[in-house]
Amino acid sequence: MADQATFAEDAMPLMDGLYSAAMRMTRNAADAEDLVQETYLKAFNAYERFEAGTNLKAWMYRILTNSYINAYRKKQRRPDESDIDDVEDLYLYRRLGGAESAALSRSAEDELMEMFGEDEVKVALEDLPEHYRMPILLADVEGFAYKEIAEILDVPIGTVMSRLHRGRKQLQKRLYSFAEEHRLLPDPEPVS
Amino acid sequence: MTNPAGDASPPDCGRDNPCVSQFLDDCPQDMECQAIIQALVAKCTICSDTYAFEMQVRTVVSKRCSDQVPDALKAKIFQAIQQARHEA
Repeated sequence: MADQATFAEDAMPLMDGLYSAAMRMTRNAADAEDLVQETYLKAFNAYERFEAGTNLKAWMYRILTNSYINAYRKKQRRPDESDIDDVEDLYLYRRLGGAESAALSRSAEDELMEMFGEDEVKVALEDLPEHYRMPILLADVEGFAYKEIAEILDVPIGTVMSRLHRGRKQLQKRLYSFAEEHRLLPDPEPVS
Repeated sequence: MTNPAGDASPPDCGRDNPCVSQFLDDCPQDMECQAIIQALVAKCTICSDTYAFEMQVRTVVSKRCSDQVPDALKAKIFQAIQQARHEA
């Protein structure tokens, strides 16, 4: 069993990630701060039941997620639980013209970082329905394995994978729409 | 689009393989699947390009969605934990 005396030392380094996750979940700083504080106090009180040497990060995210579901989600005003249309695979890759496109002639990461700022990516992720947003947040931002995500969200691993698959495509579609609206897309290559 | 040998990508490049069709969602953390993917992307330019691109999109999402916790919140939580310890 874990020792409460070491809780701060063990858990404080996880706070940036938990705060980022709380921001994407609640979509506002005040609620995110309350959620993170509540998570830490609940975790401290339960720390003697945590098995030392097991996955503290996953345990903390599970507390965060449960706290969010139990308290903050009720406050959300956006009707975001409706399903969304399916999107083709490799949406952004195809729209940007694939590897032969001028848009991707340099490192795709550099190009995409230039095209999409912090606000745009955060808004695109936060606008996703929750059942897509949470798995993407846990997998792509926080780096959890699918099995861990299934345990944190208390859903079957197959559900995690299908939600990730669909959610990532939706995210790419939203990013592309944003780039299109704001005329951030590179000019098409001239036809010779 | 051609493969490194200059031929069109073969129709059996694995893109219909269930492991590869969802390779970016199902496989990166499964060693057996990972080995299959690496073998496929090594011999197919399209698979290699799309794999690299999708991974870079994820990197961008991760970098753009990371927030730093405010110092005031960090201090407040640390203090609350110390107080809870003291009262325990």
